[in-house]
Amino acid sequence: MKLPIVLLAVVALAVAARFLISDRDAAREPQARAQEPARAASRASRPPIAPQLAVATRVTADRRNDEPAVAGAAPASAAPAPSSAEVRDRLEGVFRAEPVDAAWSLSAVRTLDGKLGALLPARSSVRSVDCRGSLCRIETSHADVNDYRDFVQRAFLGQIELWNAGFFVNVLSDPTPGQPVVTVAYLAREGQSLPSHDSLFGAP
Amino acid sequence: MTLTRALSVLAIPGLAMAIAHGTSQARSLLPSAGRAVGPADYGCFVLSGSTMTNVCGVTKVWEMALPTDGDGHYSVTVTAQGANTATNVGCAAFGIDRAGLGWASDDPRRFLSVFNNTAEDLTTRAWKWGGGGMFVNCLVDLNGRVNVVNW
Repeated sequence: MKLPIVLLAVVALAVAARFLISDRDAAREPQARAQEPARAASRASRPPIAPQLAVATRVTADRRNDEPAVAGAAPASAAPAPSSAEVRDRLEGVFRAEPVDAAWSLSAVRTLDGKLGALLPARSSVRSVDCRGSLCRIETSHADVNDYRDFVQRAFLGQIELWNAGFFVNVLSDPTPGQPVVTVAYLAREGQSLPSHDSLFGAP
Repeated sequence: MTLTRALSVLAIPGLAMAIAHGTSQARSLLPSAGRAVGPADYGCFVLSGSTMTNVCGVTKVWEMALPTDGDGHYSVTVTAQGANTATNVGCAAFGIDRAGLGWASDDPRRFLSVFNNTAEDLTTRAWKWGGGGMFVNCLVDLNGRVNVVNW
């Protein structure tokens, strides 16, 4: 009677120990898993959906390798996650510090200028479009928050995207009723990813 | 006797950990949990064995909210398929802040590169900010199919 209980306990302990070990090993693998999207990108091509979008799905895998991107798990960290405003401010710093790739910058600004008009709601306008080395910065003004959200839906989440790349978009300051909503978007080069949070905030 | 009791007591958390292990590694949802972005397109996505196909003549946008357990970086994989390049599916994961004013996706949208109705994983990453949320957004051509989302 007692023997099965002992055997059950030993087996259960062994199973638990094995999972603990595999968890520890898995924690050592985030870098490898972070490369999964890059591998997928290397296979990807961009056929017909919204053919106006040329999609070069090259990803800067090298600068993503320090990401703690583990499927299904947020990284265990005592530090609070940065807010979207903090991310915006860091991206602004990265953008301002970038050397300009004149040839790409000129071409990218021209492309974005050409597409933005069709994606903006009627009461919205473009304040500036600027591209440097790996990022573009677009500042837009909207009559209200609803128009801004329409713009985001059209430009980044809809059938006719601005272009296909990692992006970040946010308001420049908290909206005030009756005042235009001024927003900023940072876009990676087409087919590429945004700078990682680790590179923006420093790896722990 | 004492040893037996001790082992039995230890076995309980051991078994609990072993069971919990299988559920803490990842989450998954079937596409029936999502919906078309435009109300006029609700009828375009038809379920078959809980996989989802766009039966309308043009590309439609489909989204699904992703429950998350904490802030941080998530890798989201949509498994999709299409018969050919005209039945493509392109997906990306997005984070949205708590004010509903900030959005971001780390990676470009991924599209199918293998066809003949072979299921392919489309993986992208996004940051879930404090108090915010995450979702996945897919552009689905006519007869493009979404099978499952894992993150």
